[in-house]
Amino acid sequence: MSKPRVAFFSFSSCEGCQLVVLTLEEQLLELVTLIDIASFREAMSEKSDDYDIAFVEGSITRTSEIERLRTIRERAKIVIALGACATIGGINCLKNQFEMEEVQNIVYGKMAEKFDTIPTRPIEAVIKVDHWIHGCPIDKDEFIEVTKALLLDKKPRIPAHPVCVECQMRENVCLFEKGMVCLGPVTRAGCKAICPTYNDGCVGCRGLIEDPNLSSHKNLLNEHGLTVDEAISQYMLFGGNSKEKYE
Amino acid sequence: MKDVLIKGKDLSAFCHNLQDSFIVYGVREKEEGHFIFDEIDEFSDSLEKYKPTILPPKKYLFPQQETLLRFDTEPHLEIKSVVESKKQVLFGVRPCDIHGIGLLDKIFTSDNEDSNYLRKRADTLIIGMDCMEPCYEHAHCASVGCLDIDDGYDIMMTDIGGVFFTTVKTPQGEEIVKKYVEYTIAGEEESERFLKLRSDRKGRFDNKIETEVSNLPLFFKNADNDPVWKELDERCLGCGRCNIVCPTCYCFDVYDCMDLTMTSGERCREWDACTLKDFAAVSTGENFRSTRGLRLRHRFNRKFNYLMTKYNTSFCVGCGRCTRSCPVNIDVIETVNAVINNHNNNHERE
Repeated sequence: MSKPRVAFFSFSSCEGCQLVVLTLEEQLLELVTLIDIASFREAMSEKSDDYDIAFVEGSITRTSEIERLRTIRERAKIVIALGACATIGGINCLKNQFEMEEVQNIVYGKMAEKFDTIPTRPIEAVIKVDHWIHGCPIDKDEFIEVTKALLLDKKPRIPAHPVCVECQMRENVCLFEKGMVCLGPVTRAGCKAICPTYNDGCVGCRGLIEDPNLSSHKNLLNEHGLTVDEAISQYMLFGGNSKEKYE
Repeated sequence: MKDVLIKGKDLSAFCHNLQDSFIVYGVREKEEGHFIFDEIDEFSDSLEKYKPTILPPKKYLFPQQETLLRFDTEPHLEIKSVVESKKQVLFGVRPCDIHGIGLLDKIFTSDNEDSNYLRKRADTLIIGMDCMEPCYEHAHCASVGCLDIDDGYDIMMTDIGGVFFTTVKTPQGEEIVKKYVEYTIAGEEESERFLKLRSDRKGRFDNKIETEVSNLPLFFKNADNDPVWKELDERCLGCGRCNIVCPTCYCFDVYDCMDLTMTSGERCREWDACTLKDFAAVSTGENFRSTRGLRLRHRFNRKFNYLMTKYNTSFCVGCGRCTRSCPVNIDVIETVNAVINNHNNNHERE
């Protein structure tokens, strides 16, 4: 059986999630015995348009990206959104709070009209996505899990529950008890609760769980003397594409 | 072995000496007011400041994640069971958690024997630390019959004022006392002081449940349509923390994890939680308990009805961890009493 051909693509992003793939080190060597890498600009110069699986990092913020992404979809059998920018829009969605013209002027000044810009969207707003690897950045183990599942033609084991589960398993003291805002109770787990473990409130980089109890989360904030605005401002760091979801 | 006395100042040496033969897990303060069981070099239990640890010591018998077997598919299928276990001492386990472990013993031996749990359990010695005062406002051990304990530990220590009155229950307990700590045989005066302290404590532990605990299955059997579940449905975040911190929750998910060789791998288990949405979802997409309220109702039934009926004992040990950890203050005692009162009010109306 020939090895599946895998390509990595960058859209609007820091390419940090692809960097996480490169930090797999020894596992990476094992991985390339199972797959052929067709394109991966962060790691190699060769490129090819012949691939089966496309890992797409980044969000869509310019019209030209839409065409490029559609072409990838046409060529690939499987498309995987890699990291928060691709899965939920991510940090790039911050600009959606402004008028596009204003954003253009702030960023490009006199050159503004040479660079078009559109409200940021996750890749699934443009094409059909088969799998999602959440997080900013992605979790190494989850990348491996999804890749293995694809090779085995199985459903990847990705948690649907909130961050609190992993946080409590690690015996962290709840950040609400320290007067901090945390989106853990409404955010998808899989990150091993890394931010709360290091005393930083969850900002929701993996997106909301399927069925969050937002009104109860808001009451929880109030009870700890925190405001919904504080939570929204935390949520907006990654969730700007779906502000209405938290509101 | 007769009851013995161990001086408070000798506990550190006791812990230290035990390390010659065991991994010693004891209580330490992780952050102010928050305690955990952890590997310890010396005795660090804060005794009168103690509040139930974030996770119960069950994690050393039934860990969060655990490998059950390893398999190879080439050259031919080969499967080997994996049981990771080492001699360990749990130092300073309170009565509620000893009861919790006793209940897990029942669970993991009845119907099917769980060899991973049983091996770890056989390799474990339990040094109990008795409670003379309620440790915090959420404790309701006495309400569910889990304050007094006379089994399930190897030795039990009670602070009778700088000196620990120590009951030795098992031959293994006798061995560690003789080998690893200085002790004297308890005299009549100390025995009397111990008994008096034990009987005096009764008044300090309130009964918080508004019925005999043995009546609870009956109340819960008739509580499927209780309005309390609707109210909790609105409040519950479905975050699973109550399950994760519970000394008697034992549900787990089993999954296979292939190595990158794609020819070998492991079968593992991980704690699961019945308050999570996926718990009762099936592959065709249906969910037997699709709302948070239904899932919480199920959890309460597990503690006070289903398992209680099967084993004839409360599956809540009264540690109060679920109440303490619930971000939205869902209180186990308030909920149980609501079920009792709603039932009684309905009955009066009829």
